[in-house]
Amino acid sequence: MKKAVLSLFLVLTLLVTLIGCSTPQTASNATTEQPAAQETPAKSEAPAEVKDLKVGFVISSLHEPIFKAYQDYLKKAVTDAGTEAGYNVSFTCVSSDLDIAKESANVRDMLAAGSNVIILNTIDSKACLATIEEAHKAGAKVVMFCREADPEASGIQKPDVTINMDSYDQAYTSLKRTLEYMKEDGVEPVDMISCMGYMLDQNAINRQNGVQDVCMEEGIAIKQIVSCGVWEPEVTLANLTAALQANPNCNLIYAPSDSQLSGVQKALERAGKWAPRGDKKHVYLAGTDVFPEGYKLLALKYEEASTENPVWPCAVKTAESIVKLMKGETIESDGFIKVKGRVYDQDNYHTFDYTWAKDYSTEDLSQYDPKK
Amino acid sequence: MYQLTKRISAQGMNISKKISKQNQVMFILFAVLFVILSLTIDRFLTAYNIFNIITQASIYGTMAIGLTFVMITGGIDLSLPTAMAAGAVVGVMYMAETGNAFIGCLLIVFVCLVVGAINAVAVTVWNMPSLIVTLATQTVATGFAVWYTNYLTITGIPKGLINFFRASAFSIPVYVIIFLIIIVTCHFILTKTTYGRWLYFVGQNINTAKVSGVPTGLTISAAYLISALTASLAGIMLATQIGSAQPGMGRPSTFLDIVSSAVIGGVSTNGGKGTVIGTAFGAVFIALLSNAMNLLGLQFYTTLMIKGLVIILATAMDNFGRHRY
Repeated sequence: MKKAVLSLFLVLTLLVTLIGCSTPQTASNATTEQPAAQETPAKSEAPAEVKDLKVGFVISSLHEPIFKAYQDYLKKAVTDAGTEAGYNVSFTCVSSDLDIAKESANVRDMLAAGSNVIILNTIDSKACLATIEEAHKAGAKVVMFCREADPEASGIQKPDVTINMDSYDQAYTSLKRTLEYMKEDGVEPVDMISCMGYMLDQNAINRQNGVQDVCMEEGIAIKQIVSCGVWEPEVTLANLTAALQANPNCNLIYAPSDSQLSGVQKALERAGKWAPRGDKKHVYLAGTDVFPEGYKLLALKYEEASTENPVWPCAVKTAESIVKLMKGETIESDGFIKVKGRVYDQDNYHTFDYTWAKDYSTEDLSQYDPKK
Repeated sequence: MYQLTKRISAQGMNISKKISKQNQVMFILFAVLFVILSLTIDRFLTAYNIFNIITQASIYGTMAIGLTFVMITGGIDLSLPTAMAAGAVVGVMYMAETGNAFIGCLLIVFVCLVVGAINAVAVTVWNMPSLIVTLATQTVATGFAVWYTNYLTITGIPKGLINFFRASAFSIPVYVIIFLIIIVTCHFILTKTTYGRWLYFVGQNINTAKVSGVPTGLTISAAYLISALTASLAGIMLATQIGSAQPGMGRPSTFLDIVSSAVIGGVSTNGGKGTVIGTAFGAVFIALLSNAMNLLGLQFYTTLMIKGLVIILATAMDNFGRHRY
């Protein structure tokens, strides 16, 4: 009897939670927040026929603020652009929690829910091909967002559109700007260490290529490349600590994402090299993505430069492309669109509008801006 | 010996009766939830979605069935997802190099059985706690998979193998058919063989089982090997589903789904209790829950909380009445 009561309680709790927590994300009740204070275009006359546009966003994880920005900005951009084009938009986001099997299951769930467009922020450039194939077979369009599928993909394994930050350019421009600071300070790069992002992520590979090209142009030898695991600051900390012990004279580090900066900072502290620019112990640091941590470290002169992850422009491009796909229009650049980010450095970091890091920081980052 | 067999059989039947009651409660819960979700969620009750749910359940459900054998002995096998990943990368790399799917699949089975054998020897011969041993083999298997692939995703599974697994027979996906075969086979082993009765006996009281002449070491070892075998089958199924193998295939969250399936299915964390049918329903229940939450568009953190809540309540149900403090 007691077991039956407990069982009933289990079902009721489950149902109440499921129903209570469900938030159907349709255009009618879409979020009212305005990502990065971006202006949306004025609405034109609504077309007579309203069609359904059901978008399923399968995101690799939600463990960092930037992923929340992806989710919110995409929802806003897709809802605005879809409604503007006369669609009844429904937007659902599900996280794969960095699990490739879950990513595949999530896409199938979105297809089962009747999504006609799948936006995929994949975990693995190669493993996603089977998922893309399945989505295409189910008649859905696939848009890769801020991640790329394997360039060798062909046929129905090829996504319809890819919108990605120019990750090669991110690393290239950030490191170039950092080297300019070194020249200004009259410091020669010694025993450079490059941190490598998740090796299955095409963006990590592109960034590493960008770093290598700058080093080749500038005649700098990379002394050691260390792994960040699956974008894990604790792995960065462990590997960079060892690398700094092996290379005590190192004065230049590349971080493949500002999400790794806590690990980089701790490793430099352990090596007794955590000091701002101008201090003899300072290690020049080129970052990527302009996370809140990066913004702060630019202001405090621990990091020299970081090229932003252009989240809002990517979201807008994605929304435009989805509308074009639905209307059967041609997408520019053969459906492979790269969006360049702006280079933030110690001198200009406070001068940019629409900095996503400011919207997703636990502290008010404007306190680090120079007082007018 | 006749007396011993008779006593063990009686004990087994007694356990089966108790299990049936618990499973009945679970089936009713499942049915109620299913009906409510069908009525409230648009597009839930479609053939595509139902097979989608069972296909999702088939992979970790297969491993959950293997875990059921280990849990009945009172042990745990944390190495299942990583053994699966280690086996898959070795087998798929071989397939990619030679194009031989059969030997590749055998290699997946072999690697997983090696992990299972290490677990079995450590637990039964060296008397090490299964939690520690399988945690260690989990780490070793992960390290091995990363070293073997150098973090890379291995593609190149022969098209024939992929097409076989992605096919359907009478509109039923092959994954579902294989899952059903595994359920029937393992259910038969647990309920109709002497080994099955020994397993429950060992889990209920290992000392009594020893005194009664049950080969406890062999019984427990076989449980770890069966568990490893199911990991290899899951590895083949997952690799063909995603068309590749990678060291990150066996995430810790996968183990949560595996153990949840077993616990929700009525397998006792204290050993001596559990059924394959219950575990299979537990796996489908977990897949159903994930699917429903995705269809409802629930936020990720909410799904985590609900899953955790369900596991806590299922474990509470198991322990209800067992302990009085």
